[in-house]
Amino acid sequence: MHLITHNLLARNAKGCTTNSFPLAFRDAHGQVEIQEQDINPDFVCNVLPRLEWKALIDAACQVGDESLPAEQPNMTDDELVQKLHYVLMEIHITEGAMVCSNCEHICPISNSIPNSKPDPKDSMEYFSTLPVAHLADMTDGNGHVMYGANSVAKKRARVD
Amino acid sequence: MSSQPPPSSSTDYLFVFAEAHNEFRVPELRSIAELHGFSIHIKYPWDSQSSDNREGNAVHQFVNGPFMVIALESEAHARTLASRCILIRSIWEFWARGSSYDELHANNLTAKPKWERYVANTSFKFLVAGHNRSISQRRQREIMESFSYMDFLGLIELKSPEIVLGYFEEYVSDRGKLVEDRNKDGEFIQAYFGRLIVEGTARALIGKFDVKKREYFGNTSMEAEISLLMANQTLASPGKIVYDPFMGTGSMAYTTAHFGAYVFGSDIDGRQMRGKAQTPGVLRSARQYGVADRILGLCTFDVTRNPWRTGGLFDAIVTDPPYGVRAGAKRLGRKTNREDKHTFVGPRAADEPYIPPTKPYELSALASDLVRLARYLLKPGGRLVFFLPTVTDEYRPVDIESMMCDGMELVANSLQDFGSWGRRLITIKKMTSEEYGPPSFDSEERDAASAGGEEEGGDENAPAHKNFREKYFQAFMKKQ
Repeated sequence: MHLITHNLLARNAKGCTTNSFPLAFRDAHGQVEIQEQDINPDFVCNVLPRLEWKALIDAACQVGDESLPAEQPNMTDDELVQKLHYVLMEIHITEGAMVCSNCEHICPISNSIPNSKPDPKDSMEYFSTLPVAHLADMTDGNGHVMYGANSVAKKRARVD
Repeated sequence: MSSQPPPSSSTDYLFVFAEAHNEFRVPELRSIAELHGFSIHIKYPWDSQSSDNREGNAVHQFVNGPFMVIALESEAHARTLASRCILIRSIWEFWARGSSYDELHANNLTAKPKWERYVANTSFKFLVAGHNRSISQRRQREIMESFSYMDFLGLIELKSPEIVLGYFEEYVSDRGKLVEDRNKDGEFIQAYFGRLIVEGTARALIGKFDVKKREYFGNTSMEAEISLLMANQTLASPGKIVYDPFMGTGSMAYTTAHFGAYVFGSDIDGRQMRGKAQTPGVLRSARQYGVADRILGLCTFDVTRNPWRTGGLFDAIVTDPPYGVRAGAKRLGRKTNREDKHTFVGPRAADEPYIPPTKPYELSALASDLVRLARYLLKPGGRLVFFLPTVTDEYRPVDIESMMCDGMELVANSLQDFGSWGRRLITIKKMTSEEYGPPSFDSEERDAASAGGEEEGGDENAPAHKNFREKYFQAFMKKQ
């Protein structure tokens, strides 16, 4: 998952409207990869007006990058475009979770794909009791998050 | 745009299209022209029913043949179109046409200023082809000789001529007719003559994106040609951001990314995007096509409970919503009125993930929700491109109106016909720069309320795509 995704997604549950953005990373430190890419300045300028700067800086800090200035500069020069592109597109979070600071809902990230689906009540009851390491249990042997009744049945069959 | 007369400096070009997806040709041309900021003016064939039939641009359904005469401001525009439009086979400088040999040759003589400069010393090659009728070698030679009055003195060069001349005869389709009623030589609707400008190079992409050669695909992956047409309808170009809310195996993501756009995908079922290997399947295919860098992000969520922090994010939304035949659309929520309702089975075991319940998502509700979602998520001028399946006998143009809302305007509606049903590629543009909030996703409830409790068949104004799944599995039988 790129940090741009983190910057555009909020918690989406009914009733959880205040303070539902940004989600905080949990357990993402060891799971950060850097994948170099070609820079497209048009793209960076395209997303720039829609970014939440502070959330982006905080997210970058959480995964150990402090290259961006704390305040959004007025001028967009080549250097800024380069740094922004690095933070937005080249830092990948492959495994871990994001947590809503309001309802404490956990949005797991597995194989670079975040899952912001389950219902908050159920997940609070279920996830809050678990250390994050157990999030791995949500996946079957191949590392896919399972939530179809069939796949659970299959996993059970395998375990049995 | 369409009703303006062509600028005086324009030149006429003969377009030869692939003989498929008739209704997609003009929308594709217009999209690519809009993307590159120029206009096209269709000179022939015009719509015989339209009052404004000199520049009959609006209605093109009438056109079935693969030939079209179009005025462009410059040859560079023709080359741009040929390099990007999937349905263009070739573009020719238009010299003459006619519904008989006499008319064609008379027109060709009037067009002499166009070909005069090639008379003296230009090597050439002459191509003769027919649509709906093959032209024998002997007749080909006769036809070429009938142009001898042009008196071209240059060498005939088959390998690398300086110019290629093309002559095409267009016949009506005589498939299924009796032998005596079949097309006869020379009884064509129209014949065309011109000089080759450029061959369409974008058609080769169909082979590149062939689903069978793709690293990762599923049983509902979109065929390559249509995925490319959809990408063109989004006006994909470098730096733009495109979103697919029913991504599945990502067919449209690869083609839009190929044209330089960055793609975000989401799906209610993340397994579709992942596949079985460690690296998500969508990323593996994207890598195969060299566009992995432009997959902005993937996320699992139900689009009716989408987590977008804000609207106005995307330049385009392109999607093939599941319509319930091979894959049913689902949204989060519990089914109502279920006879075989399960009883509560006790708390979930600790090693089982939470599985949110899903319920079917009715197609007409999905379509109108999608238009409203697009109004929220698109930037002003952004486009929504999606397929809508319809029952051929029941479809009426107002069906599309039923899902529209303020600020959104229909740009194109192209049918891919499968007989008793078809699917329409709908292109809708966000015309407003006003900001709209996220939609409420309650079309289903609204529909239920307006139907006033009448369950089946009572709603005269229901669009033909409503309850498409039921109609499909009843083989589109007419109501008794």
